[in-house]
Amino acid sequence: MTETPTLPETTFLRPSWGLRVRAFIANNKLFVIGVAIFLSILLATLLADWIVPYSPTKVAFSQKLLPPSLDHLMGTDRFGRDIFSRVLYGARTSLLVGTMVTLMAILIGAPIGLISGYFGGKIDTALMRISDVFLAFPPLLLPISIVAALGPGLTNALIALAISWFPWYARIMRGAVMRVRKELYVDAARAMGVGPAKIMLRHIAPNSLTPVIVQGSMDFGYTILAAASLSFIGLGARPPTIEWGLMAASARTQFLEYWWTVLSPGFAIFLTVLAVNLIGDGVCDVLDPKHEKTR
Amino acid sequence: MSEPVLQISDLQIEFPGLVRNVQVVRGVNLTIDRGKILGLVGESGSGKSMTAMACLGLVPSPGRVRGSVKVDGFEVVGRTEKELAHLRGGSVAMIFQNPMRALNPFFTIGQQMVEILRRHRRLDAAQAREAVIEVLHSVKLPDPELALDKYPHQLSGGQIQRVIIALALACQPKLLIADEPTTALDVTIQAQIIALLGELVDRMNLTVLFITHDLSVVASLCDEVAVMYAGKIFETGTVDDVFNAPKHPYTCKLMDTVLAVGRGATELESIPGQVPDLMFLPSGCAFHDRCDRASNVCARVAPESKIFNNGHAAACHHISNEPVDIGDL
Amino acid sequence: MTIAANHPLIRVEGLGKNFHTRHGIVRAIHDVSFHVGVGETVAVIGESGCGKSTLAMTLLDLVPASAGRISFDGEELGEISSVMKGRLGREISIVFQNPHSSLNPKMKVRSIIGEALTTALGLRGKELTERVIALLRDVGLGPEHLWRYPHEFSGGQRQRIAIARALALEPRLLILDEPTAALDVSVQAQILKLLKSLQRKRNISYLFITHNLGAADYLADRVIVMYLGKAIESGRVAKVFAAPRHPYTRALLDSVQSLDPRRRGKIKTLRGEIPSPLNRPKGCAFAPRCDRASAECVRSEPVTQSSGDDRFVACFYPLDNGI
Repeated sequence: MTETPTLPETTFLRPSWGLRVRAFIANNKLFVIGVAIFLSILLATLLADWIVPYSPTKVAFSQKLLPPSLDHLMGTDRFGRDIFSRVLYGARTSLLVGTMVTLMAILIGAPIGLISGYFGGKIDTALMRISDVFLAFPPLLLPISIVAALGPGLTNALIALAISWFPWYARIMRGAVMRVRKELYVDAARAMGVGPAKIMLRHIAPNSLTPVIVQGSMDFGYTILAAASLSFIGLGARPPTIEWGLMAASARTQFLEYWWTVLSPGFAIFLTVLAVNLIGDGVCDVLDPKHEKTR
Repeated sequence: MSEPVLQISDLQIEFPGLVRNVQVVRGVNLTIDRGKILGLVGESGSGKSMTAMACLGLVPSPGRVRGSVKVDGFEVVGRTEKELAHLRGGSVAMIFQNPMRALNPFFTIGQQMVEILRRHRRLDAAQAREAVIEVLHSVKLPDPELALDKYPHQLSGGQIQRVIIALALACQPKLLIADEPTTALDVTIQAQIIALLGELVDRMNLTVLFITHDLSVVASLCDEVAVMYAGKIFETGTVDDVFNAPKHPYTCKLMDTVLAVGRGATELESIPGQVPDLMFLPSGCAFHDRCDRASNVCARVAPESKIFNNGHAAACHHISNEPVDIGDL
Repeated sequence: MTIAANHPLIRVEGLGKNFHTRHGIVRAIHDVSFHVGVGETVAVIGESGCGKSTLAMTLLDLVPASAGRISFDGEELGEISSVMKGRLGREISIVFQNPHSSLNPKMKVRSIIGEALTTALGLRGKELTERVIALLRDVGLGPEHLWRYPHEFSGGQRQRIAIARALALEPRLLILDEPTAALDVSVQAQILKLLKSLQRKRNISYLFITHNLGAADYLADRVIVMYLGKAIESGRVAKVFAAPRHPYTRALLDSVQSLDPRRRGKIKTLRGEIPSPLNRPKGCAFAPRCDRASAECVRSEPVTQSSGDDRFVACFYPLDNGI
């Protein structure tokens, strides 16, 4: 035996990319479907300028309230505008809302949860009591109040939703942090003299983010719904902004006779939320490095 | 000659995998006669735990089991859950490594034991309680009457393992499968449990399949031993035969790597490399890339098991013939 | 294993650690004194509740000690709890038991090993990579492993990475907290051999915490046996194992040595359970399980008696020549 026992060349046999992709799809079918739907919606909205059959804003009273047909896939609204084109454009707003609100809520909530969970004690109590105040409001009542205070409009709706949402992420992050903080590699880092800031950022945060990301992807759908609800009651987006909730709201008086005016944007909301929920369900497994082994 | 209590023939267990299917157990043959203790030795990835699970039909779901496992003549492979429910806890009982996890923390020891006893034997509450106390006495649990009203977290690891053994034996199984039952215990407690198992086996003429990675435990408790590696059995025979004259190079090396008191700072043997990934097994003999006796044939052809006298068998192209001095294990 | 010093590398006196729990005060460690020489390995053996892991934690200041003084390199430094935060941080390092949770699963090997170098010495980029490659080579791994994640390695390899990490800042004392307990038998031997050769090369001292007496026999020069927070016997490994003086040490050896095919069926067991630290027996903690115990043992705690040659035992009726 040599002085330093060395290992023979380790067989790091990694399977080819093609095989890994196929296996991934097979193992995470729902996730992949969700991603496919979501990407289609995203692609459609990004290419909206080129693929819309009609201009979403062009008014044509002669064409008003036509039912869905080959010409107008989702019919027309009371101003004769093609609903399908409007839905495509509306996707931009909705996706933007979902992303912005979720991102802002996480950016506010996660650091709070991180600090709270790591330090514990008085800091924890203080931060959690503050966020408890926000959590105590019934859903939507808080965003409504904030928008009412700030004034209606999409931007204000976004801010209101983000403020209402962050406490959930703070709590989730805090829970994960409290678990991760007891891991052996955190002790190892402390033993090496790594300071608390670096420990929080390099060791604790990356390992605590999974539940936050899972929640975020599920919430994405709910934020779209919440924004649509706000628009529905007139506190969110306002014309001429094209937004699905607003579309449904302004058509609500014609719902019984002209169902497509409400159900078309409704269907778009449904499809997006479904896709995002499928992604959210599967993202937890996907992010777990051990899941790749399929044993 | 009565039928063996456990007879495994050409057992194969396969799991679907990323690149190709993983063969966790690749053609295992094992026999245990009544009243014998067989030690199934192997490192991680050897397939020893899966072999044990197969005896109870407990191989987890994507796994596919082929071959035959007969417990007291009853074929286990291919049975439905209903048929197996009768077998488990009845003719076959299993005890696991982590005793704390085997009991429900919300119920007292007495409640859990009485429930299990009543499920397998027709007893009323009072009779069951009596039977429980009796079986706890037989495993030498101190103050069994008091233990009945305690919750699992109030007992120590060693005491819980005694309770688990008591539970396993309460229904008088024909076969007891023990999967590393002492690995998680302290050294002095480990010795107590092993001594206890030895006594119980003698007293009840019990048959045991004892799974472990610890050769010294096998030496002190078992009658026979089977050495597993990467899903195959490399060597099998009585403990005396295998420990005094191991034939397979893996067995020889394994014994050399055992850390024993009294060896002191002498040179320690180790096996280069590591246990192969079951998805990418070397061709031919799975051990050939780590073996100091390997030759060209070893890389091409998987060796068949060669039988020597007294049931001592080894699967290798280069069997050793000299007895080995194991010193003080 | 060159012990070349007229003073030990580290000397600890009167180490104590109490935990205040709802159920009362738990004396995890009480009045433990020991020393480790330069390039020497001292094994700390014992079962659950003996305090050996807490010992490691106090020496790294992961858990503050309640009492105890420490001197390093012959220099008296003072109370352990205040000293450990300061200059000794880089001199003492640790390898933990569980290779699966002691490495951050989201960090690559280069960062894991290099973190200490970046934090303490500010090394980055190419310089850092070169130092990490050298450390990897010392533990028998190659540069191709730099950019991989822990889950891509086996237990033994992860432990090698943990050892490389611990050696990064060139500590003089390495605490090994059951480094091989979670590994396969054949891998344990590999890792212990690696540790031995590293010690020879770097003249580093080890505090080797283990419950495996065979491993202690192989790697250690001296051994300390602990029971319920107290050091009850200590001395040179070969002598203590050949002729233990404390009945508990004898029992430990019996539990292990009696596992031998020639002595099958004659396992000598120790009666009783390890008492809970919350419920310390009065007097000598081992008395309830000891065959030699007398009224005196239950009344008062035995004081440690030295018997020359770096040997001591805490017992009123120590064994003579191992019997």
